[in-house]
Amino acid sequence: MSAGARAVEPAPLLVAATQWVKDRAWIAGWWLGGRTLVLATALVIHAIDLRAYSSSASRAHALGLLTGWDGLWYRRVATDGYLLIPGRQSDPAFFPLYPLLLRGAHSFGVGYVTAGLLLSNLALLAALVAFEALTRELFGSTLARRATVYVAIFPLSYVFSMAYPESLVLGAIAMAGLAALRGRWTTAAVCAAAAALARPEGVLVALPVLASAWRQRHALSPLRRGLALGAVLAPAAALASYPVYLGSVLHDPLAWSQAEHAWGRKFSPLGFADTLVHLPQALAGRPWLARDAVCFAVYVVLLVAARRAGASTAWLIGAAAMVTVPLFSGSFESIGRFGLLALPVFWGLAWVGRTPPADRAIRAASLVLLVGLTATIPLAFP
Amino acid sequence: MRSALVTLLTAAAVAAAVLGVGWTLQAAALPAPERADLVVARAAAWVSRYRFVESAFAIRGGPASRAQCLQGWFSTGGRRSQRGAKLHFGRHATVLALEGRTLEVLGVANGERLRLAVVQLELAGCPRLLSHTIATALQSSGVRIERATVGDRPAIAFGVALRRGRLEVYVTPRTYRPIALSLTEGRFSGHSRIRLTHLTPALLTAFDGRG
Repeated sequence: MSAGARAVEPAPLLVAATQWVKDRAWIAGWWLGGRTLVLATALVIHAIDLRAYSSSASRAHALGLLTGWDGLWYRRVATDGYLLIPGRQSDPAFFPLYPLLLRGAHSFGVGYVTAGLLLSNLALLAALVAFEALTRELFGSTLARRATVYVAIFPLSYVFSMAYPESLVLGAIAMAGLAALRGRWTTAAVCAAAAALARPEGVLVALPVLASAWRQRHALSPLRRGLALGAVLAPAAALASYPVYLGSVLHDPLAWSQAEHAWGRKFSPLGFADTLVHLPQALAGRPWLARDAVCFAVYVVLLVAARRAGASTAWLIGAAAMVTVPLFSGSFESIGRFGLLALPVFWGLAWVGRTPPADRAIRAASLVLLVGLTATIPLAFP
Repeated sequence: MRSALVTLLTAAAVAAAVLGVGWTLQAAALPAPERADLVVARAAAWVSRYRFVESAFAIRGGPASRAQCLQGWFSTGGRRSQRGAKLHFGRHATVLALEGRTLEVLGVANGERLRLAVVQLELAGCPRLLSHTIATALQSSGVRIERATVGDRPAIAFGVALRRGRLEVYVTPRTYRPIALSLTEGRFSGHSRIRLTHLTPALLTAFDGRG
């Protein structure tokens, strides 16, 4: 009798997994809600046939709005590989992990456009789960819940649904930080490397991983200390593998840097000051830069708020670098998108939204702005 | 001491493994560029690195003219300096091509001269023009390369479609540095040998001395 009863009891692992999923169902709910808004807006724009956006290939797909701009370049890398065309905008400006995954999905018979949309949106769900877990360990469950909701519906979070690597990098950064906190150095190394191989800003995750390794150094054996240090070095090594690869196929390890020049990005020590000084002229020529300039100001304020919330210096320095270093290239362009990978921005926002009225206001404003900004994709690249 | 060594070696092994796996993933999964594309891209890269080209070109089977083309900033008639190319060729001829302005042709007879001047700029291998032409061909895809010879020496040739004709570019077989051009455009045809040259103060002075 007892043997029969044991036979119908669910396995403990299954029970734990079910509970794990139940505990995080709200994350999936907010993910679904946010993505429904973005995808529905994209479908509406497609239906009213707004012709401004980039290519006929994008217009051919009902959700093509989300696959244009840089999405075209990532697809080009996935299909044709890299080629530097001197003086022209060319694909070595785009890091390889996302195209590699597109190619992997395509090998299972999924079209590149569909693969990009599936990959980005599913990666966002995973990123939200990892971000919530990391934030819970750092700040507790209340702030973690608010911050995760804000990521899911952040006004610029439509980028996470585009055929861009941002959702992938967000997840990799959160996972690397979480793994480092828990002393899982191999996982931390793999995730940190993935972040850096998908976007150059990913390399900055080395800072919080280093902080975690430093805090735990006395409790670690020499071998595990080596693994921890390896996790710190992993993003730089992954980043280095890209120019090494470009050197091997294009005979030019600096192809990335040259391609960036053609995209109007040239780093200089005085670039930051130049960018600020020349902002009025830049705005006169390209009014959409105002969006990125506003984002920059908001991010700075939210990083200060994150400090008040108790975010560690390592996370804050990494986040500040993510939103300020691009300004050294002479432009505010895409700062709004770059800041999406600065996790402390969302911790700061969650701190600002700590009272119920503030929380409600942030949620309502975010949802309205999310729809509005998604509708602007045809007009300005994120 | 031993524990520090273990730590450092382990960290180095992890970093090396990440570097190796990262490179292997890219090399194994991403398609390498076609050789033709690579040759043409390298040729464009060569040209884009230089501001000065020395050449000898002949049009319609006529005698070869020695030429020098400089990419830079020029002013004419007291106006503000503008970016463009200045070509000196023959004894006194000069073609000035400033961006956004009509060509200025000096020191040659009238008639056909604007169309001819464009052909002369192209055959002389003026860097920005040539780089632009090659890069445009690369972006339009479908460039093919073939074996060729230039003055009995082996070379690689590729063709570039122009608005009214075609330009053949000859590059060295190892470095893909452009060394010769051949052009057919409307009623004009010609060929040239070009040498990409680092601009020195002496060369610049000599060039400016020609007016």
